[in-house]
Amino acid sequence: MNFFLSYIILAEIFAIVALSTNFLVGVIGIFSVSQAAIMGVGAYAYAIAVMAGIPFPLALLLAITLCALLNVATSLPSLRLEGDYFVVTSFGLQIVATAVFMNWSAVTGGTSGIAGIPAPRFSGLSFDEPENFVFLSTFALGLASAGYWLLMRSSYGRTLHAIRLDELAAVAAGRHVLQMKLGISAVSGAYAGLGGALYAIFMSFIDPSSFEIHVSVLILTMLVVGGARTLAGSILGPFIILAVPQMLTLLALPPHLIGPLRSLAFGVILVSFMLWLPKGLAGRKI
Amino acid sequence: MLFLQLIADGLVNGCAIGVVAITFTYVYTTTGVFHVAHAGVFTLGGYLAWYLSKEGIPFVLCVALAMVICAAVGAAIEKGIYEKLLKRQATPLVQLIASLGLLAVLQNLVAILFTPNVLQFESIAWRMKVLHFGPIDLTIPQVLTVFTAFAAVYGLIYFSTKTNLGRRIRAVASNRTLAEITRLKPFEVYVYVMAISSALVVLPSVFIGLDQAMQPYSSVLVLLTAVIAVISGGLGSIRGAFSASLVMGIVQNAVLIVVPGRWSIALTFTLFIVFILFRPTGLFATKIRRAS
Amino acid sequence: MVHMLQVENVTKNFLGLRALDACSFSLDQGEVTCLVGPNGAGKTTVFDCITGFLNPDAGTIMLNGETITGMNRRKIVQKGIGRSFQNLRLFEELSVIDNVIVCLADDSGNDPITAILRPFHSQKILDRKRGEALKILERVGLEHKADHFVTQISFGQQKLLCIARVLATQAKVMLLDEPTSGLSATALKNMVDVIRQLSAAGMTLLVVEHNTKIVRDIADKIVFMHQGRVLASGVPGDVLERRDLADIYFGGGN
Ligand SMILES: Nc1ncnc2c1ncn2[C@@H]1O[C@H](COP(=O)(O)OP(=O)(O)OP(=O)(O)O)[C@@H](O)[C@H]1O
Ligand SMILES: [Mg+2]
Repeated sequence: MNFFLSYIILAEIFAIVALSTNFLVGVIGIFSVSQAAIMGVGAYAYAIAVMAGIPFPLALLLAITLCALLNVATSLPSLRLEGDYFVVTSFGLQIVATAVFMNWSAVTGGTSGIAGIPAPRFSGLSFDEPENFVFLSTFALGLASAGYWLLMRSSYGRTLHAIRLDELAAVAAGRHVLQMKLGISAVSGAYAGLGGALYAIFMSFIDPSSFEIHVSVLILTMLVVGGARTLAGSILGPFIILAVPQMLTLLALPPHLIGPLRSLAFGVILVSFMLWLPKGLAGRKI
Repeated sequence: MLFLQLIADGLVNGCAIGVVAITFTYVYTTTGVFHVAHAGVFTLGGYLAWYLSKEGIPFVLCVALAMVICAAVGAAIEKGIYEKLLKRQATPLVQLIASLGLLAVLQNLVAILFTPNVLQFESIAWRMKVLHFGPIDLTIPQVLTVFTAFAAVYGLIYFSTKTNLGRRIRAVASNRTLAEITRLKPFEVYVYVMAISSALVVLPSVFIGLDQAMQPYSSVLVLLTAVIAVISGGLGSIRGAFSASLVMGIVQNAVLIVVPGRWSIALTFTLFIVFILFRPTGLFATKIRRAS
Repeated sequence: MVHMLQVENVTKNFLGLRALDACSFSLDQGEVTCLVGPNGAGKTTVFDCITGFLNPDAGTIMLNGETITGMNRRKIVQKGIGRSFQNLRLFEELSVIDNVIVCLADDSGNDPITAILRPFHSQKILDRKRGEALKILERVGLEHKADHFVTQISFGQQKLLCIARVLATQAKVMLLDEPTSGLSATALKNMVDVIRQLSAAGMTLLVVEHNTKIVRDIADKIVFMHQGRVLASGVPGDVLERRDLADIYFGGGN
């Protein structure tokens, strides 16, 4: 039972991060392989804040704001330019973030990470147990989905689509393309920060390996499988992809090969979907 | 004289990065694909050479065999994946995600077939041997890194300016749509480009592996550094990309004097961000741009 | 007298090719000016220079006496110069009305805070913009296609939609790049009517047009370009009668 609940909770958390990726990859069509890094910043920021005695809502807000700002700051230079700079900054951000998580030991605990992150409690109800936490994660995913839906149907959302479809025509229409992209980049960062904070609460332990580049690839795979630019896609993807490791554990594999095999599977999935189903299962053309 | 030694080590690193940079640029400017899976080919080449040398095959043959196999892998990637995507007019984003997936496939195949752990070329006895050049000490693999890098750069320059195939590749790179109409057969050219680049990138992989160690996942860092060098140098010329890589290698090593090694990538990257904020066109003023 | 738009000695080179060579002409309020010239004359390049998509190497462009050369593209749109593209560049995955909504001068609601945190306000803005966009679609006769996708309407309607998009920016000067090319006879007549109505409503228009019959029909003034130079400008009667220009035009150059 607990096992099943954990699966649900993790899938919900990753669905929030997949939505964050969707804003970039699906909505404005830029590549991102640093979602895990941003998620990690959210997780560390939350953990450090809460353990310093800051109350839950404030710590959460702090994590979200920090991630939004970070995403804007790191994407600013590459968004100002055309072409493939974004690929480089995205890879770079991921690698630098991992280096910081590992090496800034005084704050992040280095390779041993941070353990014993307390779960919030509301009037006697603690979110330690999956039975309770699942309400929190479901609620958060509900809010995130509502936000996504509202944003996409607003005039802002329509403008973002237009920018992806033809940036030059959007400029000719007098739109402030950079400002719009930065706005969505902030939202994307906020979503990843929320996902990271929830992850930290649920696991009560974080270390650099949870936010490595493999995880970023995992998140991208979720989006690609579910399908870009739809709410359904971002939610479906994590539920499917998180089931893959479970299936791998059913095969009796040597333990040291499980990690690489899983990543291999994700690689194969990415390539196959790009070749044969770039829309994903429930998405739109990218 | 520690400083001179750091500079020399930096130059050696720069040479290794340089070969990755020029081969990446070669693919990028011709085919238009942001070939991140190049890092996977890099990994594969090093491990193949390691495996073959462990089996007792003479070292030169190991390297040659690894290059041939990687050339075949590169050609297969082009034929089997990139060509299909390009013919279907997939967006750059789709090409990029496919390339990222390929990178994961190659790295993890290596980890599964060989080992996910750090490994060294134990069967090669001379890899630790040090040569003295005045105040500077270099290992034999380091010296070979430099020699092969220069051979690769000048070989590639000679090839692309003096041979028919090389000139045809340049013609395709300069105008892809036109190339399709004329009889240059761009898709055939792409296969050659991928094969050549994939073979050459084996060299730095093997010699870095010999000198230091190998690990299936570290090549992303090498590629990132190389791409940063390519952009900083300004896209367009093989020489420019290589020179920028040398500068990059030296800078990365020189900062070791003031910051510990584990921060060097963070510092490099931050410098890069600041750099492109102020000089988006690179040092030599040609913008990074997809071949169109 | 200050012209609505004045192009003065504008020169633009592309790697040794002189696409524009000291071009000068002017547009007056409410007039339709046809930009005529063989392929490669530099007509689209003129548009690009006026709208800031290209920076001229020399010369000045003035709107109502104010220099706009070197201004950024968005600023120029806000000043009231709108353009269409020769290859349409419609947002193909959006509906007809969304194509217009996205181009409205009104930038309110175009931020994530409003969209997510003030959903009702955001909806109100969207409704208002929809109303505005519908009115613009009516001006070009596309209101009945508002909720179709761009790919579902005819080519002629797509060209009208391009005009609607420019109208949405509240342009005072409209630059239309070949609005009639490739149209069927009825669509053509329709387009000519729309252009006439715009002009009657006080719009200043610069229209790239290849068909001399239509030029005669709509033009108050003609600017004739060849190899980046303005060879003649004036009233249609004068310019269209000149044999030398006709030779260039129909002789395909030199
Ligand atoms: N970005 C560019 N780079 C290089 N040359 C260009 C560029 N844009 C236009 N040209 C060249 O400048 C000249 C003028 O082009 P332009 O598109 O302005 O002509 P045009 O009058 O609009 O022709 P058409 O009737 O075919 O639309 C042409 O020779 C064209 O090849
Ligand atoms: Mg034109």
